Amino acid sequence: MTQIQQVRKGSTPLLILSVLSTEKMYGYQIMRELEQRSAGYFTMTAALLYPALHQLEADGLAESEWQDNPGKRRRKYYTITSKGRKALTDSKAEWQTFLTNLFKTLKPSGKVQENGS
Amino acid sequence: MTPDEYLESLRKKLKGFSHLDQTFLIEEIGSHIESGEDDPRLGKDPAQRRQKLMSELGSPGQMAKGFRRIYQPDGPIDFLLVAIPLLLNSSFNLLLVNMMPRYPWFDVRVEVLFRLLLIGIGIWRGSKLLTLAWAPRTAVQIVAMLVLTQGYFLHQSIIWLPALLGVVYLIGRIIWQNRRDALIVIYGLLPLIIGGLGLALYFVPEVQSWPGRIDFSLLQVFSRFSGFLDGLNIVALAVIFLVKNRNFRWAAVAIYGLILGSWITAPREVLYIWVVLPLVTVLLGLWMDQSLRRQIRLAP
Repeated sequence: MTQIQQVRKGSTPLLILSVLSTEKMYGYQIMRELEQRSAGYFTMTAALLYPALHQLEADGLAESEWQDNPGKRRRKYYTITSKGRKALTDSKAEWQTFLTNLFKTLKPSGKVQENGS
Repeated sequence: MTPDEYLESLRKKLKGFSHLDQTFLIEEIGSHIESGEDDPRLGKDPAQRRQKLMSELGSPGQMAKGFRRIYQPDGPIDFLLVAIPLLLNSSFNLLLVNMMPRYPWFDVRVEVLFRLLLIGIGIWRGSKLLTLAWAPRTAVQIVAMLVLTQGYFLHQSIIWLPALLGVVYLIGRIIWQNRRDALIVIYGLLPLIIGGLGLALYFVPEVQSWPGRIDFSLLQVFSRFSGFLDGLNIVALAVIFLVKNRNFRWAAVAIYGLILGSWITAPREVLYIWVVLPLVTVLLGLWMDQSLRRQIRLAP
């Protein structure tokens, strides 16, 4: 697995919580919403999504309820909990700090540019 | 692979999960497939939609592996953290006896602290089987320490009582969280029921009579095969921790209960209780498990 793939996999809970922070959704809906929001960049298989959803539930970051879907199978809707909202805020801040510092470090410094010019 | 074949394959891969968990997981993935088949964004015709949908699912093996990490996180390390201390138990007791004359604090308290450490590791690793292997024994041991030593440790109740309450709360929490899985519930309750009744019987006036024929035979079996029973206990725990087949795991829980019963030393006059009690408890759990399975099958 490449480093970028690892980062993408690591960001799965954050992405799911972010989608759930707007409204309660069922698994398939979450998958399509993620795809749409990221213009197809963040796609994941159901084999990755559902265990991640169940893990969020086990950690108390999301909760679920079954709802009838007339003439069809029932759907399991997920909602973010207050603990999940806090985790989302903290996680967003951490990613923000990480990405700011990453790009700051990657950007050539003024001194290097001066020497190079 | 068709959706039905996918779900059937997933069901097979989820072997060993409680029937209720298995049913809910299959239901959820089935609902996912159904939503995709109805979604026009996946393609114009049903065949196209199904193809796209199936390619997005990931393999049933991957899916089951992901769920197993959450529902059955116990692995070989957790098993070893139960097996090794149990195997070294007699050596540990010998060490306590040898150290006590020099260091008076090197008594049962060290053993309790060591078990609390193992419970902590169980919580940290998210292993319910490891935590439930030590927590009920530790709770019984703390109670025994406080009430069977003529008040020797009672002045330290301020330390041991919160520890006891914490351990009891933890047992209750894990059992409540796993209430849908009778196997886990019985596995966790067995040491508590057997140990608790063993403690309670200390306060019942002893019947001074020669053990009956059944008790006498059991006494002989327990004493003659004690070494073998210890080994069998480790094998039973290995099956509970590592084997996926649910029937084998139930059989192992029954053996585990019988061996727990064989460790109870008093009162000898009612030795058969330690055979009957674990078996009745396990049979009750198995009946609950099977009736739940039937209910699920009958559900629309």
